[in-house]
Amino acid sequence: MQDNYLVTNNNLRNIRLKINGRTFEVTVAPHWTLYQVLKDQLGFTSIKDMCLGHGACGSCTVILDGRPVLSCLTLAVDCDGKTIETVEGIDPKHPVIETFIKHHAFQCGYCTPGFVMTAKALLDRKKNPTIEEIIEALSGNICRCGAYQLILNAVIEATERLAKGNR
Amino acid sequence: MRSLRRFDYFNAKSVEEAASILAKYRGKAWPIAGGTDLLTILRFQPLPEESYPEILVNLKTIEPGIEYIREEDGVLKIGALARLEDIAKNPLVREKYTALAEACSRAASPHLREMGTIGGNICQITRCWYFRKEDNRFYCLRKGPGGKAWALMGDNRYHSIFGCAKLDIPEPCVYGCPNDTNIPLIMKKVKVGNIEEAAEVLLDVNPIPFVTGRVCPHRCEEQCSRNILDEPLAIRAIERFLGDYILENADKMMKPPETSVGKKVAIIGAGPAGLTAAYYLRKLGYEVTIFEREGSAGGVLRYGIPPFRLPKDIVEKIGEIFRDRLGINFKFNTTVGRDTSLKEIMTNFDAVFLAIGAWKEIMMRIPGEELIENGLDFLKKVNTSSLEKIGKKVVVIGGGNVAIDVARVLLRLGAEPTIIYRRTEREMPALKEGVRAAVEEGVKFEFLTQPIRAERKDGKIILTCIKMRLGPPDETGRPAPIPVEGSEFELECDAIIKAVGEVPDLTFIPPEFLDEKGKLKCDETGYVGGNLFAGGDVVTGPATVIEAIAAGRRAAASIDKFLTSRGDPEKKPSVEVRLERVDVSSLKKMARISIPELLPTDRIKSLEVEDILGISFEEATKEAQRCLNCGCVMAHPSDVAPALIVLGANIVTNKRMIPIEKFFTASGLKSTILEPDEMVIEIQVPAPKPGTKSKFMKFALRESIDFPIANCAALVRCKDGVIEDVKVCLNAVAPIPYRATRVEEHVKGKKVDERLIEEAAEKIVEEANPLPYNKYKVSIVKALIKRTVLACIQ
Repeated sequence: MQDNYLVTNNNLRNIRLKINGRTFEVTVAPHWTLYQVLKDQLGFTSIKDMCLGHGACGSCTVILDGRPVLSCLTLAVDCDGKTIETVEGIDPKHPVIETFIKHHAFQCGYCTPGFVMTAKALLDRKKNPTIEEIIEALSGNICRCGAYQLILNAVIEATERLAKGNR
Repeated sequence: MRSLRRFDYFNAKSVEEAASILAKYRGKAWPIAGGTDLLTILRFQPLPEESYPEILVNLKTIEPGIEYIREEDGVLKIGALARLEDIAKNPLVREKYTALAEACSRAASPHLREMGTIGGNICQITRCWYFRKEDNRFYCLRKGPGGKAWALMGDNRYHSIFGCAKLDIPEPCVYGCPNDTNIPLIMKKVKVGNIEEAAEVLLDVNPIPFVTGRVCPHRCEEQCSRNILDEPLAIRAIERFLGDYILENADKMMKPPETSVGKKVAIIGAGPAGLTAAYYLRKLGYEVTIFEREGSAGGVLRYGIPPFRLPKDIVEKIGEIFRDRLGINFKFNTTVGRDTSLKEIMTNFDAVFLAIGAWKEIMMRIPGEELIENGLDFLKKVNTSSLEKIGKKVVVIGGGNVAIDVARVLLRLGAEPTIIYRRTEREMPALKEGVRAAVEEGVKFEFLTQPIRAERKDGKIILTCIKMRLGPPDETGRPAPIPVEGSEFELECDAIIKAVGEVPDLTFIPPEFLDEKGKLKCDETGYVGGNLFAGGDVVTGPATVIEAIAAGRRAAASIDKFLTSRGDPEKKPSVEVRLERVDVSSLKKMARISIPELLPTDRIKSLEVEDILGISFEEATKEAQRCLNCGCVMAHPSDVAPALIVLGANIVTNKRMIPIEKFFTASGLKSTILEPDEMVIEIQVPAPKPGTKSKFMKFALRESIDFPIANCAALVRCKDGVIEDVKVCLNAVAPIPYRATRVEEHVKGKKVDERLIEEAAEKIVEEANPLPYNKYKVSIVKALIKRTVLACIQ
């Protein structure tokens, strides 16, 4: 963590982000969101935006120090020294990715990175969630194509695979 | 996606450090915890421009972190930065403080619960449908003075069902009034026919409403929220009705002071400012003497405004009431500077209020100006019946109120007036109402015309004028008139009257009270120097009667403070939220009362007959029903708040401990009573007594993401099947969390049964005050109460 600082409007800050296991040093302004830095500055284009920054769609979800958070409502300066995971960093053989493909858990695919990150955050922290818990965890993500049942099926199967230790 | 508004950022290491930065930037520094609420505000920027923070003080870096959840000595202590998700999942909270855990688990969406903190949740800025609307740039009541009650008149489906909050921001009409008249309170009293109390409220700020009820330009009506709905409330007509009531009941309404303070105040000038100051000083017990150069009281009311706008018998009555009923001394026909000096008065009295108005006509400095009569002199002659013959064709120079009055008087005297003004109708400083009346009555206008020379020729006067065009704005902000070369023309007339502006005559004022420009040195309290105060047109230049009244009232307060060193009554920001019932019938479209007015052709027949007439008691009370009693009907959206209320939590800040029920307020943009350098540190919840159960339920459109339409927390303790303790609190149904006390009273001490709970829930219907589009919320609330209380006893 950096020392206290008072920045002026044009005073940029250097921060260090650990993204998908790699360390990035970036210069940011205090009012920049994590969304802007990840997507626009560093090119992690998996991060999406549907609700124009209201924090109402879940499609910009990343995992920040283990918690699923909305990158559009997270300040980049707050993430100094923190660990971030995006879809780009997930092993393609990870059950969540495989089951999403298997169940066709999308139509246009725009919401998929958000759902995948939310599901992974749940499964990372909880060994064997119930269906109700899965639904609850995914309830902050919106799929405008209405692929909810397929997404749920995918996450249920991913849960089962992970519970069996079958990766 | 829109970027966030720029700000500076400070990572606080300790609570003290955070507080010191907040104190240093008072109001311009905001604390940030989870940030989900705050960053949305900084992205969509729905607030007035000046309200945003310049710097955010990050509380997440405070060490040791304030994210703990622990129980100590029978009290649950939650750090302000504890995440909602962590509270929701905490086994201890789920077990013993169930309503809180459930509320945290239902707030916003799963992601926002991972980010949002409990401190942030209870401090969030209350947002209503209008507030949250994108591209929402208009001013609603909450956003500051001059805002309108949009939600009352528009789509209010998500708003309060328990009335509106009176904010610490003036209602639109009060904001419009230079004298801060509490119009909504007056209307509330007129509505129910309580004329005497309404008149008293009016008298508290205005001793001559029978005058302003006739001549006030009523900026209150311009501001009235009803302008959006149909037509503004006829405030001036009601004021006139109340004013006339005061005149008729002067023996009851105008009482001399009961005490005397044994001090003497002199007032120079018996115009509206002087009379007002005299009234309030006399009421406070001062011995008041008014020096007046004319033979009668009223100043511009007596000698300036023509009788068809303000009958002179009314002005005569002011003099009588002030002298005979209030015991104010008048010294008429006494010109200060000639019959006595200012210094002498200042020596003989404890304080002096200078309110001589602005009577000196500005010189135009054109050849032949001696042929031109002054407008105010003309009006004075008319008002004292000392006018000799006036010609047929008369040119009136000027575009202000005096010019309009002069022209309208001339019409009534049988002349044919033409007003010439150097700019266009749009730039005329005269009040629109007067201009409209003058046009209706047949006054001719020549715009973009400037006189350059007057000369006498064969018994007539020839006024040579030049046409003007509008150029870039001058120092008054209006386009500067520029002469058009070669456009000179001649006007032949019998007389010319000019009313191009007036200035105060300060020739008798000792130089030490004048600044280098020759103006009175006068601060905003009205203090000049020594024991001299001033106010009204003498300070501001020609203005309106209501502004003079405001100045007189302000001066009376300053003089009282000066002589008694009583000091200002400490104005403490009110933290008590006043929820008032919304009179839903007033929200419908209703035609404005038609104020009886003479036809223009009848008007010009007489100089004395009033052109606008008064209204009756029935008309006044009927019109007052149209007052919306503007208040804010936002809905407080916090899910956590009602749970904390039923659990009887206390909020610990860096300054004090606040019981949760006193924590919330509805005052403009503030949703809590926290001071600018105060922040929530900890939330303490006393452990419920054994046998207590608490529950929380929420109704939202999209279950996981939306703000609540309504939510409900309940706490119940039963013993042997009898309800010993019960608390029910709703939210999202009023500007602050709403405790359902009647429901509680209904079930307390009674034997538990489903019918009883159902009856109790029904009680909420009696209290509810739904708006046109949110009656459905009452049914939802009823069901929520029933289900939540039942869940506590099962």
